[in-house]
Amino acid sequence: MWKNNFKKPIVFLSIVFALIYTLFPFLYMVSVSFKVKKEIFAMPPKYFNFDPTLTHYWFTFFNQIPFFKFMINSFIITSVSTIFALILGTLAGYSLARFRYPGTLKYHLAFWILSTRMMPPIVVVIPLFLFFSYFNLVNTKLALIIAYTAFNIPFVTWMMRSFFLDIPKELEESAMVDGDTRMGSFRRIILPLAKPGLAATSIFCLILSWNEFLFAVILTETEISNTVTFAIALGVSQYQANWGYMAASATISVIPIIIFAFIVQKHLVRGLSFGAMKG
Amino acid sequence: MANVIFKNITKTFDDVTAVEDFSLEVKDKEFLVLLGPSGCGKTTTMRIVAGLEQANSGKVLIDNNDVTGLAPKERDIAMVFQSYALYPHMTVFQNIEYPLKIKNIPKEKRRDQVNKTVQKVQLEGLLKRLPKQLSGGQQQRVALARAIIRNPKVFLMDEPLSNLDAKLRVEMRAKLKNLQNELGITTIYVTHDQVEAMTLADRVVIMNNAKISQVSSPKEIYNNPKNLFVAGFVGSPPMNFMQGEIKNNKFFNNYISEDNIQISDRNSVILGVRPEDINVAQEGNIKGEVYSFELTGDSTYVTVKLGDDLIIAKTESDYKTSIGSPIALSLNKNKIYFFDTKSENRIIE
Repeated sequence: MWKNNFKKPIVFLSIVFALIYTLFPFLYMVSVSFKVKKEIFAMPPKYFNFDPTLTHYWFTFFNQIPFFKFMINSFIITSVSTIFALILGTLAGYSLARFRYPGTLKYHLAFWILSTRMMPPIVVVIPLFLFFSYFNLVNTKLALIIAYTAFNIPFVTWMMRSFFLDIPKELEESAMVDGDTRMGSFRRIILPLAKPGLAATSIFCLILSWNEFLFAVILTETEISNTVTFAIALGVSQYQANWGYMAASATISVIPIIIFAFIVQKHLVRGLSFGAMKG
Repeated sequence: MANVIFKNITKTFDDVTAVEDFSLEVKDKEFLVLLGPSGCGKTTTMRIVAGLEQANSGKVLIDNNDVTGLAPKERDIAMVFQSYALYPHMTVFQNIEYPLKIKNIPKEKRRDQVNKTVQKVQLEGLLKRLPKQLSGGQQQRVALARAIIRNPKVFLMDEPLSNLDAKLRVEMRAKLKNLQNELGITTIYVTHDQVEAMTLADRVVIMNNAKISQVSSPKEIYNNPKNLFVAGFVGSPPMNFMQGEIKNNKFFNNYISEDNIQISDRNSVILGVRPEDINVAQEGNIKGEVYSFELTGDSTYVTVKLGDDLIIAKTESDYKTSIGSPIALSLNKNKIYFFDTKSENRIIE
């Protein structure tokens, strides 16, 4: 009794605290995007009691910055690189989860893949720039797609590997004995069971690529390949910072990710494959 | 329908030898049981037949065709796994239909065949459920249905009954035997449960340490074990063993002496005798004291202390005794076995 009576409010309060802590900046960003300049800087800050305005949204879409184009660039780069990373990383993760490797190679390979994520990205950005300029790829969407794919593969590999390890290997063995090929059993049995894993992993990849700024700044130059993060940063200039514009464009840029999260939400609930194997 | 031939199969995992020089012919329509303690290589042997493992050397022939390098799907076999391996995201119908679906058999025909198969294993009315909504016994029958729907050349069963409770296990054992007989499909069955092996098998292969210890009918295995391992592994409670010496046709150690042994003199032999071949009496040439006794319903097992050895004897259920009281035993002369201490092989002269 003691436990229950005390646990519930503590859990509840913790959740409330966590929500305020994580959602406040988001809320503040949205509120700033609807304020006129004077109210943005008002002291004490006005959270709800201000006259909403759409000026900044108007400005975002209809000034010299081709914001829409940047959005589309980001769309293409993020979705293509996520798809590539998911395909390659899922296959790599499956291999690491299932196949036999000689000696300790499997361990070293898995660690090596992970280790590429251990250095700060800025370390590789100059070599990458030189590399891309050698192949004439600077200021193309392809450059960012390649860079983001490479950056996401280790993450996908490790995430999917752990999901595959949770799926009993008798399932695909049984499928193969039933007459299926390795790839067929992977497609018909394993992938449907790994759907929650794929959903979770793809959200992470999307967020990572969508939010990426460093590579976007250095590897792109014009609106051919500039991304939405770059567009938001354009609000800061030599003499001023256009907070209203930045808040509005950031708010818009968050929307696609939220929509995607809602779409895959039902797959995020794991447990379909659990408990089905035991008698 | 098909025989299965193993020719000198050897399989190693890194430094561990799982199967060593395994040669055997499984006859057409035979129910063959691979029996042995865990880690003896019986499951690996079965997986080599399935094509889920590749042997390091040797060949596997199914229906006289060399299938050694072939993928599982090219072997026309069906397997029931210990965990049943039902596809959790598919309904019972989809699970059973799966082998046919891959073969691109038309939908109508698939449905007919599923319905026919389902009747054989009594699963009617459960077709729309997911595996997790079934009981253990029902899941087991789905796995069975999925295996028999294709009419494969060979059935492989990897401890299919070990996840069931005791009562259901006995029931399914009979069902399996009946079904195998009805379908007439060559079956290789892996188990560590000797009762399953004895009741189901036409022939039992006993494996120990990656090698075949003995291949015989269940009766032969029980009555004529080739070596100490087989003698000790089959039978419950297990055979009693006593170390001793043979001189002038007489076996003896500190507690026992048996005359008229038709074996030449040896310094060190092991005598084996099953609990049911020991008579408990007031008078007898072996004297000991009661260590414990257990009533099992139709009989009583008396554990007798002879020096440092504990010997189990089987007697009638109404036998009455108390712990610590003196007891006398005599052995059934026709049913005692002698084994060489070193090679552990049975001594027959």
